[in-house]
Amino acid sequence: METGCKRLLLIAALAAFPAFAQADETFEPKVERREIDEALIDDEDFQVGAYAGVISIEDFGSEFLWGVKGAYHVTEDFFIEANYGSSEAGETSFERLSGGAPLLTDSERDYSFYMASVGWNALPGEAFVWDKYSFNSAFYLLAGVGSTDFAGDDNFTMGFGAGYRLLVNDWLALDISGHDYIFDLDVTGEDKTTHNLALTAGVSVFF
Amino acid sequence: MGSITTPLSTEQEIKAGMEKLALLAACLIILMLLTVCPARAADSMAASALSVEATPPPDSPEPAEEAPTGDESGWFDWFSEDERELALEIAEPYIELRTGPGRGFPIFHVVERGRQVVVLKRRTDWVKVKTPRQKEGWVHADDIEKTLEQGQRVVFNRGSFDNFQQRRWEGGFSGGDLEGANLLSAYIGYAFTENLSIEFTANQALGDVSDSTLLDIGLVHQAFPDWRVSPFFGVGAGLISTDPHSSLVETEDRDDETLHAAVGARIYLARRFMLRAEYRHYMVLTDRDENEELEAWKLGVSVYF
Repeated sequence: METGCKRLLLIAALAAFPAFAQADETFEPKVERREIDEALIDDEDFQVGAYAGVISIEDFGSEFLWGVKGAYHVTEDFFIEANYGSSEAGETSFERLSGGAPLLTDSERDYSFYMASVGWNALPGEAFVWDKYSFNSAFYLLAGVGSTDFAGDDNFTMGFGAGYRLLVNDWLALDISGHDYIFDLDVTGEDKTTHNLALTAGVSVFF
Repeated sequence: MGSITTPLSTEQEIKAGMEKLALLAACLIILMLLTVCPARAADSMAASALSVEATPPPDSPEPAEEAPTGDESGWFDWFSEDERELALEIAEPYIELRTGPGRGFPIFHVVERGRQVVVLKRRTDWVKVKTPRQKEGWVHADDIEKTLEQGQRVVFNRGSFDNFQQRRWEGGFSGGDLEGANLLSAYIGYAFTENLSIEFTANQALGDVSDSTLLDIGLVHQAFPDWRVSPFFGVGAGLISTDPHSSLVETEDRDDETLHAAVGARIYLARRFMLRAEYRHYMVLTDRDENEELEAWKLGVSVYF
């Protein structure tokens, strides 16, 4: 009797299983998920722009700096940024006071760098101008590595920065930022670590 | 001292003048933007000033919504948000609209089930939508995925581990070490299959006595594409150009061919981000009697598309 019961149950179960499976299949299409055609949606994760400002090249005075940068926003918090800048170093106070031979030739005074950085939108927010305007904004931090071409050589450079980005509308951003570009230089007779501080203002677009 | 500074001062004046010009230009641009864009800004401000507002019940007359656009093609169409529109019906009880593309921005509007929203654009995980009442705000893609298009659920193709496995393009940069010199690299790769890809790498090594530029092309094979930490190996060839520092004498630039073998791993982090660690062994085919061998270590971040 007992085995009979078990057999019956087993047969019932076997019979029921394909039925369950079929039921699943018939319900499946109702929760079909559909990938959206990406071409229909304008994704704006890339940002390109230009900037200008002042860089204080250690020992060589403060000079005009300009550059371009591009960023890819991976999440609302993090982005990666590539940055190129160019300036021209002035004279050291030694060169000015001694009136003697210059430390560098004119072409060696050309100062250019590229940096690859990771950025973090540390303090996203909104900024209000009077009671009429509101703009999305973010205070961001940057850290990266790169190379500075100065004094005839390429120098490994570490860069740290912080900036404030204000979005005028969805795709247009203004930002101001400060950076410290750190590299070793040996033109002044000893191998020393130089800190080159840059203050810049820029305009960029998202696309 | 005065006589030394005189010639300099004119130069400085020119520089100062340039700086002033640049500053003036920047101010002008900002002013222009402020005058051009207040309409939009005022819109969003008005929106953010509202408290949370629910749309009227579904039986109220539907406003004339998403008027078909797309026939206006201006110069700035590149940046404009309306080309072809994608209208979605909300399937969840409601969605929340925020004033900006981030989790911290305030919610200023709510759209209920059964209403339609038009998708305008996407930034990272946030989607900008327009409601029937012409309100524009940002909704998290997770919420939008609970909407329907013609009765079907919708999935955004944003970065995920599944996408990572099916990636075609990837690129990134890294820092590292090449025989004691600081190494900077950038690369771009294209995957033919989920196992096999081709990669182009540009490297710059900055050392104490010389700088080198290396350009490589290589084939990379990953055996386990479905692993979050996915090891790979590769082989390739390239060029190395070595430039001794200018403070050294009696040296000359050298250009040589290289062959390399590589092992490493891609580590999927989140969305479209991955870490990439790699060891590369270079054989430099020199004109001298012996070939030179170089070891490179790299660690960097990459994104994929």
